[in-house]
Amino acid sequence: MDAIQAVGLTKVFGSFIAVDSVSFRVGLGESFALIGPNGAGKTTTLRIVTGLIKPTSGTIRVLGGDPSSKEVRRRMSILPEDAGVYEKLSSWETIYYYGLLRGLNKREAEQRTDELIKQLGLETKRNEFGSRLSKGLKRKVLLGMCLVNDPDLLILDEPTDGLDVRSARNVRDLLNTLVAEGKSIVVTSHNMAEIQNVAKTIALIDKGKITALGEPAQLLSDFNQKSLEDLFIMLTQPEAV
Amino acid sequence: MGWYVILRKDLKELVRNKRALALVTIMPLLLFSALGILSNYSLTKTPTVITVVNEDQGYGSINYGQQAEYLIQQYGSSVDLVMVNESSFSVAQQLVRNGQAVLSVLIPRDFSYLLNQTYGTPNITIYTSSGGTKTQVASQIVDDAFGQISDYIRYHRVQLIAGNNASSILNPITVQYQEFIVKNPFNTTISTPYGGILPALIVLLAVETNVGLIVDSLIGEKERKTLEMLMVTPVSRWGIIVGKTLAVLSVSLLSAIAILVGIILDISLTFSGLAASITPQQIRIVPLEGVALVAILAATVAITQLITAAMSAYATNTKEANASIGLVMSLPVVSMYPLLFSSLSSLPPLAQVFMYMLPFTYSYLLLNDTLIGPASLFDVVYILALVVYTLALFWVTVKLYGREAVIVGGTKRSFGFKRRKSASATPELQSRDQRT
Repeated sequence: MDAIQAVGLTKVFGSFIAVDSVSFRVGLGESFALIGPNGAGKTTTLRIVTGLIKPTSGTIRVLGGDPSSKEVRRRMSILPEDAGVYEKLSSWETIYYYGLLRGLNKREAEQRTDELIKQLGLETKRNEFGSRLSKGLKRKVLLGMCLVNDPDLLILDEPTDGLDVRSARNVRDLLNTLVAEGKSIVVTSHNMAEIQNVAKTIALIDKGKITALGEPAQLLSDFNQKSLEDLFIMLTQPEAV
Repeated sequence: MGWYVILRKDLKELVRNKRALALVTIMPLLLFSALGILSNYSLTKTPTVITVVNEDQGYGSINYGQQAEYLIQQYGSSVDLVMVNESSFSVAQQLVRNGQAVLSVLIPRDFSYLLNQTYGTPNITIYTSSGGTKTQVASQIVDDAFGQISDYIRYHRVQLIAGNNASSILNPITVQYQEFIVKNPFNTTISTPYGGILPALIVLLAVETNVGLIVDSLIGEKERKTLEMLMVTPVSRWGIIVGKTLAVLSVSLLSAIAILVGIILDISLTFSGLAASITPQQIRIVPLEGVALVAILAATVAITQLITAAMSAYATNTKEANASIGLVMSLPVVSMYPLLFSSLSSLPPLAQVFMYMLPFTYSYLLLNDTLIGPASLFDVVYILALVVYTLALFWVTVKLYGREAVIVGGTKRSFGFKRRKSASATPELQSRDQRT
């Protein structure tokens, strides 16, 4: 069973094709990166994967089932690109709330929240309301919300966006730890170094189509490029104005 | 029980939002109290002016015109009535037109003379504006004053003809009144000039103070970018909407209780002191009625919130959603305004159909029957209508929030202009491309 099996995914909004015949698979315990310019279709693809929107055509299987089913959703989490936190809930309460929403009982949610508060370095901000947290701290709380149910599949849209260098490294280390623990991770980022550090497989998407798919080293070799950044520049076009 | 988790979390957030909480609980108390004080001031502190143009020249030592003036002053002393003598009736009429007096009385020159003739019938002219509690009270006082003089004259004339049998001639039938008091199931007594508009006031205030809460709860999630994560949890869309609506409804229950206390304050303050003589009956809301009132208000607020939620489903932020609040707030006015002046059954058929389509009509009718009565079997239908409306609005709201546009935003603006259509997306699109 794969973590994600996407076959011929197409999403059309009116006359606009956001995702065009996209196919890829992510194995269990595999880290997968979706890279591409702004408006390339990354977020739409991830939304199809999470079952938030239905594909116009094509099929998607996540953890062997329908991504909008309760069973699958209990085992996966998503961190949207520009997600926010609750202004009137503390860091602890926010993570605990998501634990309960994802089917943990009170004791499990409490225990897991305590662990994550410690793991994410939020001990001093444990009782701080969301409205008083910095962007980096909010991102950490959001990660806690995603990890609270110990998901088998973690989907992260720009997880280090807005974080300082140290926090970004902490997140990357955390992702690598999760992969080592056998979790499947799908990540999007504009930071090519980060992608190279985290992802085992890369899909480059441009104008809704996957233009390159494979392991980073193999792709660099196939396209005769020195870095992922060069490969990105070579295979993508500037965003339409 | 995802809905319960959402309910508890939203309730926690609402309770921590002190400003919103104060708005829905303290504001009704303040508003109704202010209304009561202002109404009381209007009824008692601002004098009710009557102008009298007394041209009566009397008959011998008798001057009935002066007696009428005396009686008007006597009867009007309890309501701060001021009687002003004018020499010209046209000036007195002008005072009424200007709003400086509520009523003007012209007593003719031959008033006493004609009254002293056996068959004389002098004409009293009363010039007044229509409507208004003060006008009604002043008219009643003038009627009572001239009524007393009429009674005396009538008796005096009959006595001249029939001697001691005058009383039997004037009162051939002894009427014994057995009063039937209209009661609602809760045995409430609110019999004031306020009665008719009170249910409307209550519905309006319940709607106005609570309408914004759901916008912050639902669209706030969207605006704060927390909705997408919430929708990827195992909780169903039904669970999300139910949890959020119930959380807001819990706060609205507090508001409903505050409104109920506000009503009692309002009426007590309005008809306190000098004004108590206008309406001798007092408000008395029994506990069972209190529960019924809170339940009706809660249902009304739930419907308000669901309509607002449904209407703001297309909004991307609270600013856009707030635009729909104005429209929602106008619905109770539309549904209750005609009922202030006539019953629902007296309206034209099309207007009736329109009124029955508005949920606030049922709220008004139920509140009216609960507070003023009489209750009937129709109330059961009204309750069912409110329940059906609530469920239907739940369904509509869930459907609207289940749309992809809630997540991806407006499709035209976001996606329509940036990129041209690809020629190789799907076989269907390919064939469409070829056709075009």
